[in-house]
Amino acid sequence: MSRSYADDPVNSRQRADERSAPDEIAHSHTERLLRDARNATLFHHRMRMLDIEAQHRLRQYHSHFDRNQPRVPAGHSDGGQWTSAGGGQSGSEPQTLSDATPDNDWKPGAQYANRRGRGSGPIRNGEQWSEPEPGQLIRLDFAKARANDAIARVQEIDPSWQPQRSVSNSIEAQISEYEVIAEQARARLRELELPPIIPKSKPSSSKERNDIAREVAGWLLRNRGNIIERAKWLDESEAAIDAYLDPPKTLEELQRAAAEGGKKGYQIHHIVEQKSAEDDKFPRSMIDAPDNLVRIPTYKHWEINGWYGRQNEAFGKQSPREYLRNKDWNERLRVGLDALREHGVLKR
Amino acid sequence: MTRIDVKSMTTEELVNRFVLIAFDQDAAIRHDDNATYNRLFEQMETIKDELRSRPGDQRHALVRLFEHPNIQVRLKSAIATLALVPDAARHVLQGIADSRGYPQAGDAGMTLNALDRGIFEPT
Repeated sequence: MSRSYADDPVNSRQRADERSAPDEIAHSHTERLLRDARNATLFHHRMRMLDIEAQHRLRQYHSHFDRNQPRVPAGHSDGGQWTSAGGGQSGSEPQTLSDATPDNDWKPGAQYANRRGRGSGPIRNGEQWSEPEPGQLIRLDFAKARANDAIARVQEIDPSWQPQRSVSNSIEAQISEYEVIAEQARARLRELELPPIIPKSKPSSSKERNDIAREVAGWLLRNRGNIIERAKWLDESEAAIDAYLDPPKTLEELQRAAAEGGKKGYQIHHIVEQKSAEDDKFPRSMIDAPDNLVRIPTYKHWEINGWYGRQNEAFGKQSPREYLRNKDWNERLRVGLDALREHGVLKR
Repeated sequence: MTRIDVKSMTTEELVNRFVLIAFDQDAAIRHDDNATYNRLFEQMETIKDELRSRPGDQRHALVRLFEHPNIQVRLKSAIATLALVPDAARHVLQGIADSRGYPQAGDAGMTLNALDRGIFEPT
């Protein structure tokens, strides 16, 4: 049932004002409506830009972007060629990250026509003059435009934000500095903790759907009590997302759940990793023993498995999986339990 | 991959490269791409080794990344400087571990755990 304004005792003072100064109140309401409309527009704009950001990040990833393999952008005379030094751009990257007007004079393609390009003579960096390598100026233009664009997008939401800057005394240093600035801006957008963008239409690959669902789960975990707009296709991940929000449990609870069997959104997880234990000739009877099995949220299971496979300074620069090779059962168990604890699955 | 000539890079360029590698590591982790992550790990080790070899141990230049907005940059800069500024670096790691920003929160917690158990002795 909707509640009328007149029923609200909290607003009695405001009602008195309303009676005594109707024009003022009407003006105030109009102001509020206008402010709300502006906020809604801004919110919509932010969401749209985040969507562009998300798409950009996906494209960047799926393009197997490698900063160490710079290419001259398509459309230029050197288009598509590999350039000589690191710190470049992928040809598959979009030229602009949003349709917002960046705070510079860059227009797609325009500066390329103005640039003198290959063999254009020395350019100045602070007090030094240096000879640009082929493609270097174009990469510099690109990096600068992307940095300015990214800064502008952050400052629309957080006007006081400024990136950390450093002193560059070479063209390559300038390029890498611009890249760092652009990434700082993207990181700031993520840090603002706006909800992830969920596409309305179902992504075609299960990997993409899982990536988005995990991003949603992570956001909900960090922003307890908040809600997020959902799409119908995300229903398939609902159990896994809900499970990810589980608070840490005792070892007995996790083991008991494993004994009960599988459950949607959860995985049966071996505390001592089964594959490496098997490789090191531990018997299946130990590996599959009830006290080595816990039922944990699927996304946590994936996170922990991923952690085991990544090289790690704390494990002699090997992956934890490699570190555990030839170790005894107790050491494997200790690492397995610590991993559950530090990933928020097992109660401390 | 183009081999990076770290010897010819300034400390500032190396720090920028460190940040860029961390960004790519972050993306690789989010996409469960451990092969890419491990390749990037080696690249970052090269950068750290070069910084350490420079007079005064230039890994100190990574300390300013402790407040970087990207969680992977904070994680990696803290780990890289544990031998130089142990208390401050541990403080950063603890903050990440407590942040619920997984999977880096898990990584930070396991690093602290390895330090406490004496498995990890930063150099």
